[in-house]
Amino acid sequence: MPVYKDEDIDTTEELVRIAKLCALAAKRAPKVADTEIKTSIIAGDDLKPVLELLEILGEGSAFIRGDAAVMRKLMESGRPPVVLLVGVDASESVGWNCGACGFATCGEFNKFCRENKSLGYFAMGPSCAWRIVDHGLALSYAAATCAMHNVENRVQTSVGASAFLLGFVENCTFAVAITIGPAGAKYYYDRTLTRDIYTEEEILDMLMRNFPTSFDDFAGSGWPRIKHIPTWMGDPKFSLITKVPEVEEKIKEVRQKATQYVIEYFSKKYQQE
Amino acid sequence: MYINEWPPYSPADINKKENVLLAAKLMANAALTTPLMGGVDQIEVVLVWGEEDQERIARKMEELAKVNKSRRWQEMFKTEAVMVRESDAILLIGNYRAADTPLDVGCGLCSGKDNCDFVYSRRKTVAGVIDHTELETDMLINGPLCMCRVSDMGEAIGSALAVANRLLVDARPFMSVGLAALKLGYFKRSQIAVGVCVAARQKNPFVDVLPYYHLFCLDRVVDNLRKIYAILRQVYWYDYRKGLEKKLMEEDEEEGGEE
Repeated sequence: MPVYKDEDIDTTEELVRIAKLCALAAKRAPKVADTEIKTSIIAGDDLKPVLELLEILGEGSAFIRGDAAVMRKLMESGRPPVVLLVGVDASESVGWNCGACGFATCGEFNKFCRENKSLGYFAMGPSCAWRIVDHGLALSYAAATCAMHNVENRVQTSVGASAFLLGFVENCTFAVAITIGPAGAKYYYDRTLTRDIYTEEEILDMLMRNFPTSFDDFAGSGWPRIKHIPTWMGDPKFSLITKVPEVEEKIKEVRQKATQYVIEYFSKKYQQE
Repeated sequence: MYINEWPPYSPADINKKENVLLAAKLMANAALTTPLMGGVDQIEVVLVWGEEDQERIARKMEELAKVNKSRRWQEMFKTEAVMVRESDAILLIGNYRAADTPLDVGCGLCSGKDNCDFVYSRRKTVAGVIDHTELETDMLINGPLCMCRVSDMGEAIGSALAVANRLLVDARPFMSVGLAALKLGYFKRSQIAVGVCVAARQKNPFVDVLPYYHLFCLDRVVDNLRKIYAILRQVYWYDYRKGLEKKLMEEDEEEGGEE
């Protein structure tokens, strides 16, 4: 009888086995419009480009930066997660003329789709709402299967976007990922691995920008002072609606960098083939 | 407690319906705790049960069957109206942010562009904020919608269905039920919704249906049987104490049963 130690329980092989069960659940989920769901499981070295692109996207988003940091640390620790990608082709209309997409008929949607089908930030559009409903539904079914196995996991649009942009599911317009494993907890919720990637100053700054009213003084003047230090009255700061070119530039730069990465990834891939 | 699904709405059936209601309530929890993009609140749930409300939704669906000339559409709505009547409870799941408070990340799902202009430019706004009081529509669904929000609604439905699956009650999501509920005003804010029919019957009422199901569902077949039965018992009028056939009377005489 072999002995299975801690390091044997969350092997890629084992996580892939669970990912496959989740994929089966996604395909089997009861659907509103009988939409076909496409899945793909990414593990081992194939996760590297997904992580690299995620890190680029993270440069423009504190949210994604955390997702990338966790995956980077897990990969470096030698206990990488496995990614289940759940995709859908939402550009095919159902034929119900419901109006959810913003067009009066499916015919008009199809016409718009033929002329405008293109890639946005991390998904292709336009989309039929019912395909999107079915996709979300299948995704939850897969996540529920993962939860039933009590394996650490998180539904991640960011990881899904990165893998989708790199073509890990074919003939899809949208994909979301479920990151599965490794053994242990607090990788994706109550994250312990992201502790050192945000400074306290950065967090406070973010809070003031997003919840300015929580830091406002008596606002009667019409120009409320922001309470940024205990002696704010003597050293007031104000919030101002303004253009911030460097932030705007950064967003553009990250998107260009991401596009560049995707182009290089595909050209390398085709050269190898 | 005696539990039996027949006859419908008998005390024995109501006992069962109350059990299903518990399952539906747990499904509602699952819909709310589903993983959502950014964890933003956006899901509202309405739990509907009882003959009166289910009938109201079913009739609205039969009315909505007529808005589209397609046979497929009409059959679908009429068939699903039957399923609503045969359900024990109906969970209506809607998204109240899809129309007026998009996710604002320029993902590309709604139009294929890396901005949210498609949705915002088709709504009335105040300085870029969509006016939620100006959302009238003649359409079945009030589009265009933020597809990321729609995606999250799908996830909420999937979570509810996963709970139903684990509790071994039958459940199936329907666009038609959600549409009827929207038009009937069951939701406070949602502009898109899906209805999940829930039932615990010895035969899953949501699969394996006959063609023209609205005419040949159990309810109608039983109803027709009741109608025919009343007539049939009057076709061969006879005095039950005298017996039906001569032969039977003769048999009785041979056995000396009737003196």
